Amino acid sequence: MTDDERLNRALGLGAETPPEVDYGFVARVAERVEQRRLIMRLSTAAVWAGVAALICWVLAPVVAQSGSAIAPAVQPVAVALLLVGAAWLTGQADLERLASQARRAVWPGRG
Amino acid sequence: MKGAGRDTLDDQSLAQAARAGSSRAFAALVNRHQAAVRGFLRRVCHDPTEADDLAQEAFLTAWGKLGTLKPDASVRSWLCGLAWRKAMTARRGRARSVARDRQWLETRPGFDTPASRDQIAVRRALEGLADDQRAVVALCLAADWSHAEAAEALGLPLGTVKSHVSRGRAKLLEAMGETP
Repeated sequence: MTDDERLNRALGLGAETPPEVDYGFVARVAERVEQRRLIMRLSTAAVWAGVAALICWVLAPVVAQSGSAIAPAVQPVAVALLLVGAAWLTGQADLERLASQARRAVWPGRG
Repeated sequence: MKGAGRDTLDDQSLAQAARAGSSRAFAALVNRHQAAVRGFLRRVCHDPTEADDLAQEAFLTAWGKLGTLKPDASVRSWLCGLAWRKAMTARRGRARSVARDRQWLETRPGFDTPASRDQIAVRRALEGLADDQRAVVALCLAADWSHAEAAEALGLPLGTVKSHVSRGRAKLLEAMGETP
């Protein structure tokens, strides 16, 4: 056996060589990716909620001043918009998947 | 996109699909390159479990940085480059695991054979190499990467890689020559 052949054999990992296909490893990475994706979505939602709260806070005095005058006209439109928005969000959200991801984030290995 | 079709897509197409939000495309990339990344990390780290943990971290980082992957870059080199930087970050303050690993290697059953003596000698010699040199040896000598690929993955000049391969090989052969 040449020196290079000995070196190649010694550099081999033997039993420690990772398998060419390892679905367990792929699944663990996928789970962590989904957890991170969930955290990013929640973070983004939190930022948008903060922005919305800030806008509401800034607009509150203006709305309070003019509210009494335009409230009767705006109220049905606002309710309709609220219902449409809620229906759209409900349709968009995969609530079961979201809950499953949240469970896995809190209790890894469950859910 | 069907699963069977995804297996035949090239790395860049998979990366593009993953960047667009496809979890399956990213899983296909992980499946395709996990052996290379884990094998590389197992050679430069001292603990296979830690190497696998680092590989997971590297893939997670890759998912977050898919947007930085250049269109003409080799995905395998890019992933191993990320893995290498993870390993370097984790390496700090890890001297105790070196001793533990060496002890394990010397006490594992059946170590007293010419092949395992070579392996121990090479492992020790690898530990003695500089970080860059060890990574180059792990890629070019152990995993048959080209010098250019290793240079791309590790962010080293091609001449430096060639020099590391030559000197690293000489040191490892020397270490094996010292074994009885």
